Amino acid sequence: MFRQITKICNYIWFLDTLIIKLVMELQHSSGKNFQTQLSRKELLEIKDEINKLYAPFVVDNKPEQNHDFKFSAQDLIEISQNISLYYSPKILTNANKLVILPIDPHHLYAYWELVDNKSHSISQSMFNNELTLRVYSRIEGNRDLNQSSPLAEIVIDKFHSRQKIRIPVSKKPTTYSASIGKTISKNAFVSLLDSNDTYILHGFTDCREENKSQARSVGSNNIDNNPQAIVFEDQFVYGSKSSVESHYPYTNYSAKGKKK
Amino acid sequence: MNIGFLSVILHAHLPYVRHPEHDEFFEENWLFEAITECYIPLCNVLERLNEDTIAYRLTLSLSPTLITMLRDELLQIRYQKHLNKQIELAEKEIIRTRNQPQFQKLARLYRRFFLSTRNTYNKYHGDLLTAFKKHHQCGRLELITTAATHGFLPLLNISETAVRNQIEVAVETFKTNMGFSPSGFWLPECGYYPDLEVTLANAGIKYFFTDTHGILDANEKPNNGVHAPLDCGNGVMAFARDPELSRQVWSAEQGYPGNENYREYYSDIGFNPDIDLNYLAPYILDGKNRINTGIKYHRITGEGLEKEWYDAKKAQFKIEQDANDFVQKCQHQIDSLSANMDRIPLIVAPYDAELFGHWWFEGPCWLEAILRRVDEHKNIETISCGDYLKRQTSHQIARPSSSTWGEDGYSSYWINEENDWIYPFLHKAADQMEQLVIDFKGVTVSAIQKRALNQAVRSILLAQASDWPFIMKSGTTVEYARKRITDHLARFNYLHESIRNNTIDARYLSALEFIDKIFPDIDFRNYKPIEL
Repeated sequence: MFRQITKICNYIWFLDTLIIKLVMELQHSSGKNFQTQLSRKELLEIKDEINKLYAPFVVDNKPEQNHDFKFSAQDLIEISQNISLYYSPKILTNANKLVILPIDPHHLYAYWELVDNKSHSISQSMFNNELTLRVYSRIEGNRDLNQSSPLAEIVIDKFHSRQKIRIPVSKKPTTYSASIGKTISKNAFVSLLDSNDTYILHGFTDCREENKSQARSVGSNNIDNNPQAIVFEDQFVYGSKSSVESHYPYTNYSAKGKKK
Repeated sequence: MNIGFLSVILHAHLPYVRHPEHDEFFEENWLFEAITECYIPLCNVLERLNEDTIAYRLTLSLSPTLITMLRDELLQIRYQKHLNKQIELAEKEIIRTRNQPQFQKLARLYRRFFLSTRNTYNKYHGDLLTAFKKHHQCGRLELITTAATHGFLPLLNISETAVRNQIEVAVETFKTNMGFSPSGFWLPECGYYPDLEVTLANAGIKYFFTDTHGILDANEKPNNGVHAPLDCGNGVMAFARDPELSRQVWSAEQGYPGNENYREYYSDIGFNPDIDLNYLAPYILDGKNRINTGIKYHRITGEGLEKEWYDAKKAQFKIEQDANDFVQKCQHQIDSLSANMDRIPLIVAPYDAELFGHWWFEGPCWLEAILRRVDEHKNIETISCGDYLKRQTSHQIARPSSSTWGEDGYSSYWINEENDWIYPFLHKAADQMEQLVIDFKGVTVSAIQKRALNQAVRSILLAQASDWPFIMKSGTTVEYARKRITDHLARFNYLHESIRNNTIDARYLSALEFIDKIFPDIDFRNYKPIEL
């Protein structure tokens, strides 16, 4: 750092000298007497201004250590508490947003944020329970979005902005997406908000007993058998216990105690 | 008997817990306990194997948060204080148990154990990374890393930048501290989703691990099951966990650690109601709340039975038995696999490092025993996955399936009714950070702006740790996990707003840099969409 500062100082000194020399050169070459137009003070001002605007600077990649502040433990606690008090996370966005996340081969998770948007009357529709969340799937290789199959449809509850959604099983690599919109009639759906895509590639190994049984239970709703099937399932109960083999539940040594 | 490879991987990770704003902080004990019971015993095992010229290969994944904490001066000082107190307590225990010879014998054992721990710690001047580096340089220990703060990548994936940042910051932190780039990457919770290999390849990663079904459910049937890696199509290799040998250690019912002769983790004198609270006061939380002290006198004994005192000789005998059993099972698997494979079978056995020593007290000795046996056993060779790839150059190309090693094999442990509320906040912060970097593209920032932008990235990374939703689901220190995630998000919100409004308070910023002192070389400009 010291070497860099020295370099910069040398450079500034060099620049100063150069500017003064240039002005002197101009005086000689033009034959005009600049002495009457530019005082020494003015020369210095010009020099200072050029230095201020055009002096090179080195961007240091290391975070600069600020030695001016000494913190007591109490100072740190107060600063931390102040920030937590006034800046705790809140969902207040100015944009409509719909996100879907993969949970497992049987479930997606969706959350959404809807703000007042008069052109779409989203908030009014929301209030009237007119909005629907529709989930689509698209088998790998089929790039045509219009060919996406509606897979599940849920009436959005105005008091909730997140939902776990059970989906039929697909044995093929599948891309899922979702939309929030209004169902106008049986075959007409007006989309007001679209989600991200989420891609799931999964299969059915023998070690996943639950998956096997669920795969059987959905039977005719299997998207591979019936791509047009729509599952109207909107209230999946959280917390159902699984008896499948896994990394964590078989041990007392990690999941239950690792973080104590 | 046929020839086969065994690759043992230990994944060492703890969340970043460092509280300079408090003189003592209970959750910092997670690190201190792991150092005493796991990391130092592991260093000692490696040292003994080295002295006896045992030809072993082992892989150790070190998370960037753990690397940072092991190198942190404040935590080093606090650890020494913690260890000195443990020695003091063991000495008091020798006196307290003078009329109970079996327990006094164990108190002496703990005193020796803690003193030896202190010797090892001092030998490396408090820097255990030096020890691991030394064994890496000897060619015995392969060192790899994991995501920067152990972010659960499948649920951060709606922002490619967020995932890339977790991976790139991890690789840079590893390089800065270890002096070389990692070739392997431990996906946090083995959380894989298709296309992740692209980001890994861009960060210079050659291989990673999935759970068993990640490979078995690949888009092409794996010709060699989980006993050979798959090339994801871009040259990045996916290795899968072997279910049988994993179960031998992980399973509480069938696994070795649950044997009646091994030490009982939950029988700590800190919770013994017969021991006066005043006596324990200097060694427990705030002098009044009972916690683990690290001194435990009982063996597992058996379900429903009164706990019996721990017999180190019996435990040692059992270690030898279990090590033999493991090697035999390994050989048995190799024999049955060899007939149907077009190459030498590889058995991949990954475990959380903290299982060894912390939860399973005898774990490090068991590990040492299997590495010694395999060295004698000429048909099995321990190998790192990096070395395997040098020896086996042709691989089946297929794409693994989405998978984790969590409860149902997917993501439900990290997104459920206990913790799902965090994701809208995490995603929103990631979006805002990305937008900030886009807006500052090509703009010369002042030193203080740069510091604030870098600190904002640190806050996001710390909020993204998979540990917080994990703890919320497991129901252990839930309040702490909730506070950590909301505090980091609040710090991000504060920094974001002050950067946007050009109202950065140097004092507040310095305080945040002091509290969340991690990733010193981070550069906010890397937090940008790949197309920029």
